[in-house]
Amino acid sequence: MEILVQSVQTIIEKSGFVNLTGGQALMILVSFFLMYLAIKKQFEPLLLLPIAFGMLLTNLPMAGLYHVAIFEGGHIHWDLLNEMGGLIDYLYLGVKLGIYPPLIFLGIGTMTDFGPLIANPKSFLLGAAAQAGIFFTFFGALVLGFTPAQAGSIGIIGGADGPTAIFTTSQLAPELLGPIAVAAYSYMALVPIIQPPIMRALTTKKERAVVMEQLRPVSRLEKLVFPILVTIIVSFLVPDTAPLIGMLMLGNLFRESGVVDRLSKTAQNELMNIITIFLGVSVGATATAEVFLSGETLGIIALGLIAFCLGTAAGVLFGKLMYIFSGGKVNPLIGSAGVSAVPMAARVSQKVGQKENPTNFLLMHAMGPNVAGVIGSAVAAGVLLSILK
Amino acid sequence: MGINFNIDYGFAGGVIVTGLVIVFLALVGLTLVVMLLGKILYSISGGSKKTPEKKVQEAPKQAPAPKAMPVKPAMVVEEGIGDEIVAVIAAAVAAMSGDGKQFALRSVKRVKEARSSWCTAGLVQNTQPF
Repeated sequence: MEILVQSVQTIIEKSGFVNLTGGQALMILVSFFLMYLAIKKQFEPLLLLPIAFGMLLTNLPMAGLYHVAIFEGGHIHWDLLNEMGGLIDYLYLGVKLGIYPPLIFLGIGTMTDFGPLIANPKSFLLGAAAQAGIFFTFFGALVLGFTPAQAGSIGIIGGADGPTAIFTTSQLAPELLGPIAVAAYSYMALVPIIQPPIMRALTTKKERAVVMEQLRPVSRLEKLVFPILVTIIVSFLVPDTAPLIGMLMLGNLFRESGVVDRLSKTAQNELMNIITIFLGVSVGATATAEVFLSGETLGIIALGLIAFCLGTAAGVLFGKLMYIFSGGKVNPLIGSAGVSAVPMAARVSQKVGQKENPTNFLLMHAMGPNVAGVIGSAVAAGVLLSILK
Repeated sequence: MGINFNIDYGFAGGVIVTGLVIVFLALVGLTLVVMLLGKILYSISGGSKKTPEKKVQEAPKQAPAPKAMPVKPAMVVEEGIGDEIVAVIAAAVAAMSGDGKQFALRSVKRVKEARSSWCTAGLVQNTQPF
């Protein structure tokens, strides 16, 4: 009888009910809120749902799925990993070692048509302009007391590119990975709400109604040469971004070559989905109560929003500049698509343009800056890595 | 965490300027290379081919309609629109404008659109996901 009582007592002592801290309880509630956003509101559900569940798992008391100590100080303590590594500790290695984001980029490459960008290469400039938000927010984060490495990771939220933000943060400020990933994906989901007021405020009715000329057809050879050329040029200029750009362009070459259909399908379906699950769960797991429930998180969320708004504004303003120099041939609304967030930002340009002129279709024109934004934010990430690492 | 304006402005400015300059440099470089690539490949493969002619004919001749309303000015019907179509349009207008109201068709011309209404409807459906 005594043994029975003792066993029950031990089980109770080790149970989550007794060991739950206030912070963990609050984080579990935050994870419920994110799950609600993902399932009910469909905010980037493919990533937000695994992130939210990872957040739940990591805050379960006594479960030991993820240990901050193993990754303390920015590097992996392999001895601790062997000793007490949990499931998510092992999955997180893919983030920490910079494996998952480039593999996600491989999948994105197989799904991206660079045709609109090749047909109108001036779109590259809009993709560059929209990265201004990253660097101005870097300054804001410094003023708020973040270290330069942390400030660079926060600024990259303005690139509106989840894998790039995770890749940069995992190398510059891994301790902020949870809040930055949540902020980046939440704002990407909120693109249709955040961008239109800025776009309308910075453009006139006449500018929004501009109908752009149809894009020229792009030959297969151009589409084949493009990924190889971009890989070489960008990697020569900013070698730190080679993993991202290299994988993105490899995926695109799979797609355009037409001879490796199986690889292309695997990269954009099975591989992409597997990596998305691993990435989401392990990034969500970094949002432990001690890390997430701090003033820093609020600062990151506020700065992320500023980065996003500045990026959008810079893109639209550069679009206006192109409108003026082209003699009214460029619709400035396509500039906001330069923040990446493919293809949502391009769809927003399309929707805002169509409100002014229902027969106007800006989607393909906006896809140019949109995919240029992916390259632009990868270059910006490479610059930040090379200066701040 | 608090606001602190006592930061190294030289370093911050350096990062911002270097970052923006390199991003622009890379993407301007890509713009030029892709433009050049397009020109080279066009001259190699597509240069000899004729550019596709514009399908939409400019300024279609407007032929006066044979007769519609005797006293009133003659109805202008664009070339290529048959009498049956005019009759159908007139019937549709009559049906929609209520009983007994008199009206006259003064002109029938195609809307200058690159796409057909069906095409436009399809595009709208596919490009409005939210």
